[in-house]
Amino acid sequence: MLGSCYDLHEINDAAIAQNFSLDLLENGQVAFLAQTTQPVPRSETGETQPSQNISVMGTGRTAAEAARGMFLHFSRLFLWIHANTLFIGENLARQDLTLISDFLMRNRNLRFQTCVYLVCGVSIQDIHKAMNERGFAITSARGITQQIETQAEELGYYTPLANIELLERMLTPGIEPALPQLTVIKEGDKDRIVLQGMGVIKNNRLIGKLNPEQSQGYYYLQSKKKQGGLISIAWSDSPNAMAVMHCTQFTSNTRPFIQEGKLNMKIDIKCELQYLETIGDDNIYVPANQQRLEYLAEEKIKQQVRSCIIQAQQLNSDILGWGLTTARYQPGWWEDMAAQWDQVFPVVGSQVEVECILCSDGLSRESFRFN
Amino acid sequence: MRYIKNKPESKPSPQEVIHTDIPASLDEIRSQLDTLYQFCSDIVIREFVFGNPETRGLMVYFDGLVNKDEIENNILRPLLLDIDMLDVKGDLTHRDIINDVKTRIISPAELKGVKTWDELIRRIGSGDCALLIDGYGEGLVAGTRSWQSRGIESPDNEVVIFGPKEGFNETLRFNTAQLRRRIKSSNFKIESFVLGRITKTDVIICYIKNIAPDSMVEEVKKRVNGIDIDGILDTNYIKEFIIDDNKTLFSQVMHTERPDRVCGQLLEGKICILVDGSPMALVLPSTFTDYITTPDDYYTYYIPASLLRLLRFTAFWMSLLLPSLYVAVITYHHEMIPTALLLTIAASREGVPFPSFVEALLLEAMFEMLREAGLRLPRAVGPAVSIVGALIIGDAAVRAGLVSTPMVVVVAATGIASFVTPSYNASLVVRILRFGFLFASAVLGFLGIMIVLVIVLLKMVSLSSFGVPYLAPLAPLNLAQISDIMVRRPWFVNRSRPYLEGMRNQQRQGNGKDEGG
Amino acid sequence: MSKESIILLLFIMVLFIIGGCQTQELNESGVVAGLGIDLEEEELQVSMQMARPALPGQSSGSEPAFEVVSAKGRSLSEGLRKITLLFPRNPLVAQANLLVIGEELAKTDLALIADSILRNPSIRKNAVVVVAREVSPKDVLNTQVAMESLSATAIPRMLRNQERQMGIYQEVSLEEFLNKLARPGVDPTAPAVTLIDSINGKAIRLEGTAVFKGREMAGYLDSRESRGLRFLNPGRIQGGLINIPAPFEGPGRVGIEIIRSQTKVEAANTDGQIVMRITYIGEGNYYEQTGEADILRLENIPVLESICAEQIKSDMQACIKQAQKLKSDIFGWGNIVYSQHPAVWAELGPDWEEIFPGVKTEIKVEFELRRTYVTDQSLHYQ
Repeated sequence: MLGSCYDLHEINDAAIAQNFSLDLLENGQVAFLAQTTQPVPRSETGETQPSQNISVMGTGRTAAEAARGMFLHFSRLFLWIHANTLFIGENLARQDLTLISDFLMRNRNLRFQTCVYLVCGVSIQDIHKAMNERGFAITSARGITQQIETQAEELGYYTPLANIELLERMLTPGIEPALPQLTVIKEGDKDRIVLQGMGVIKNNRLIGKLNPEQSQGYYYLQSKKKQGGLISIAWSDSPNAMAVMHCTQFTSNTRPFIQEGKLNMKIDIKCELQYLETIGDDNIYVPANQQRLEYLAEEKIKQQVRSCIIQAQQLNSDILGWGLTTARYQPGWWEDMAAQWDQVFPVVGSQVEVECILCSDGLSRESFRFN
Repeated sequence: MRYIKNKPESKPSPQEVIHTDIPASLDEIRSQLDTLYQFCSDIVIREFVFGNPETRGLMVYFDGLVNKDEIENNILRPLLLDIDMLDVKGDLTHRDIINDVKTRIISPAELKGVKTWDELIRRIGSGDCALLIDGYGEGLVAGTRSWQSRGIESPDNEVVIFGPKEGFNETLRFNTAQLRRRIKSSNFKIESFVLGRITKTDVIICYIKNIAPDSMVEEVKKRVNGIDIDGILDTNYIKEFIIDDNKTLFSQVMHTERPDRVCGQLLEGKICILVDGSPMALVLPSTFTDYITTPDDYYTYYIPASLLRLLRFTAFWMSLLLPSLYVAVITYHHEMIPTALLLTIAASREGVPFPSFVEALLLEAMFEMLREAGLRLPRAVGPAVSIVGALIIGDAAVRAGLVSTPMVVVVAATGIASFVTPSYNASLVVRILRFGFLFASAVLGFLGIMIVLVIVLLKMVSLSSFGVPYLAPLAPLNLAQISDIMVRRPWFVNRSRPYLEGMRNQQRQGNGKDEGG
Repeated sequence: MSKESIILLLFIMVLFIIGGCQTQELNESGVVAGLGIDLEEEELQVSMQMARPALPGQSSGSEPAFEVVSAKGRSLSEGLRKITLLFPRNPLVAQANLLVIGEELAKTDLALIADSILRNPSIRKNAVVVVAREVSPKDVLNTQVAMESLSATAIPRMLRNQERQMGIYQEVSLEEFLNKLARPGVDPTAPAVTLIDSINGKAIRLEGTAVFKGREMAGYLDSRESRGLRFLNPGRIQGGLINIPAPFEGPGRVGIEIIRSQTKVEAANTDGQIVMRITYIGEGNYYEQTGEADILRLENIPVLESICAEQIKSDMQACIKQAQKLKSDIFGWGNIVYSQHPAVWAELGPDWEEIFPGVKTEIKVEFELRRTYVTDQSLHYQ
């Protein structure tokens, strides 16, 4: 009985956190911003009023102090466990992620599966303001989680990253994290949150970015991902002739091999494609064209993957996890080279092979015929 | 005191009379009868004279308990009128009159000589009539019992969809007859006892010899014989005397009103106790698994019966744990609920003035009161109460913001689930334990629920009913029997009886020993 | 008519006569959630936060769930009753669980209200006392706290949560406040609230602790000194976060969560000189660190513990320094001297005001680290 009621919280005395954001202020203090939803009781007529999102900010010398600083002007206890998105401000990411990583790891109230995003171009206050204005999702922080998942399936641009993955990649030698980036754009008088590029981390700091094309290449290099990706290819020189395909399934494999004393990476990507649409009046989707379509898709993916590799090597950040792969498949080699990996990584050769199979189409077997 | 002493002390007190033998002289019999049945207005004592030379006789019975036609036709008429049919022409000189009367003259099917007042009184009280003849210290007791009783009706609180609809009633003989009609083997034994110093109630113990372990039968008889009480009005009196552990919530014997259920249990080697005047049969030993089985299981095709049993299991756990789980989740373990659901619950709890635990306690208590009120109310008022209680109070409480809607849903679901439990005894236990779990969950969350669950389980495994572990066959584990707990095993694979220590014949089908008779 | 029935009749009649004189139908009264008192132009301004009764589901989004009414009077009771001049309902003051004292009033004289508060049966003595810092109590009551309908219920909750989580301010009840005001050898304190601009508009923020000297407010403790005050109060406390610099070179910091602690204060009398002996025993958990340093190692734990102890000790000293500067015995040391050395107190009591600023202290702090939550080491970055 002595230890009883140790963490009893009535939920109407608590605030359910949807999102929390961390940034570094100019005065060197950590800012902690939490978004919560004001529960709105159902009215007697049964109609639900739109739930209202509220953001609360605290500052402090460390993340935990900042989080707890909120209690100086906020009266409810937060239930952190329901926060499924974490935004990290650009300033903090550029300075040092270790300011918050221990907090993220050690705190038992945080979910390891929380999705982590980088906020670039705007401050976390701005993005919270934009989030609180959006009323269409149950709560907008949850909307963003859904957004990145749908985007990955439909477009295959950005790869979501969970809190625990971020920490693991910061801690494990031979792999660096890359975070999807969010920004706010003005659309009329409304603010809209968009996903834009990915931030590349090295040695716990933000050092560069991947543009959408590179991000797509990064997406294809994820061995965990299995689905998604839109491929549009130019069919001929005419700008009006295009074919659009969707990658319904893919597997990606990266294996190191040593050639002439140099480390090389062999990357195998196997895709199953679905034909989506033809632009222009050429009859592209005919059996005779299948090989060429597949070839063009392969080239497209290759190009995206290569551009990602080039960017990563330029930034000298092993976001592709090549070090880890080497350690796994060439342990002897890795032992010798681990210390100099920073010098080795930019010059690792790569050999990308993509194999596409066009295996399904939509409702129509032929291209649309105009009169 | 002096006043009493001064009275002529010719008459002994009824207590003294009762332990004496019946005297030979009819005058003495008459005076002792008057002593015994002083102020008993329902006693009928008829004196008469019969035969040649005239012999005095006397007939005693209780009005209303006997069939008067039978007495007139089978006893009085032969004695008074048909005595001439004897070849002695009514001359009874030097003859053993009582033996003649017994063997030759009167004709009731059931006739027995008794020599003590004690037994005579008991027999008359049961509705027999006694014939006493001058000069013989023996009474002839004829079975003439007949009284108004409730007919055989379908039991109210053990309703089945299929299967027999008959239930026990208050007359012991009808009840044993119902059992005998179903089990015709001579191995089916019905042993009779008389308990209750004042009520002199007939109690029977029935079992099937060779199936019920002898040691257990002996033990039950020993315990029943050990009861010394002034009256037995219902089987529960006996139950409380003979159970192993009388400091526990869990019922160690099964109550049933259904003869078919008793027979099913007897075939599994159980023992049944019936009491005159009570329609409830006790079946023992009874284990925890009897809580969730109903006779309907065995009368329905095995596939739906098994699914229904699973449903009943679910309902059992729900009625035990649902409110406490809900309270634990919304006060301690918010991470267990999906965010959207948590938001809905939070919104509905917004503005509720009580802590969740108090809210649950209030609603649960209200529900129990409604349930209890519904039981005792006259039938005509019952629906009105349930409408007022369930609909109006529930709805108005939510509208007034006193309780939250999810809590009403949880309590209502628990209520429905608790009605699924077939045994009333079991649902009593569940209802009490539910509050225990609720307290624990308010204090320690899931940890508290777990602690109480462990305590309850410890108590249950330590219990035994007449040597049978209470949780058998779950603990100790009996794999062969466990399949009949989770699902209803089809009859064609149900080859053996549930194991009881000392059971001699476990085989149900095929190469089992012939049960004889 | 029998004797019994006459007595019964009389009894019922008496019930009817005495009953009813105090009844107030709830829908004819206004529920006062919070009370604010300030001095304005030599008159007492009384403000009340009245809860607007609303059925669940009828919460109208933009409209606040309360109404602030205020009136002026020369005395507190006059001010309280003058509310009826502008509010049609009878205010139920007994429901108020927050008392906001204006800075102006606090700086002038608490004697203006103390007697009235003590005597008034409908002012709740377990209400929480706060001082409105640089703002008027009326504005504090007029400000909404995020997610809460009434700021008057939110502020006590804020104080409670904040103490568990941050460990800066301590809740002060009206009873305790009045007690300290009345007793010699101890001066009262009360947490202060102010208004700030937050991303949700105006917000109430806990800011400092008001220190009283006798009947008047002498000054404020800042958040560090308030922390020290909490450590110095005799008894057990739970919760709170200490932020210490990491025991290595570099910018890193370490957050330690206080689980529980206990403070004992004793007065020692050495050669007529009073020395306060303060013993603090506490335990805490390793909560977070910043930076890449490998801090959480077995050999570092004593170092961390001693840094924590130092930090706690310096917080205490800062508080003592400020209190002695303000000449306000908010720790109740005079009272401790009185109960432990009555003879000495008889001698020093009258001059305690002069003696207190010079009282020496001996502070002993023992701090122990217990748990480290999810990981038992510092993160080793690649």
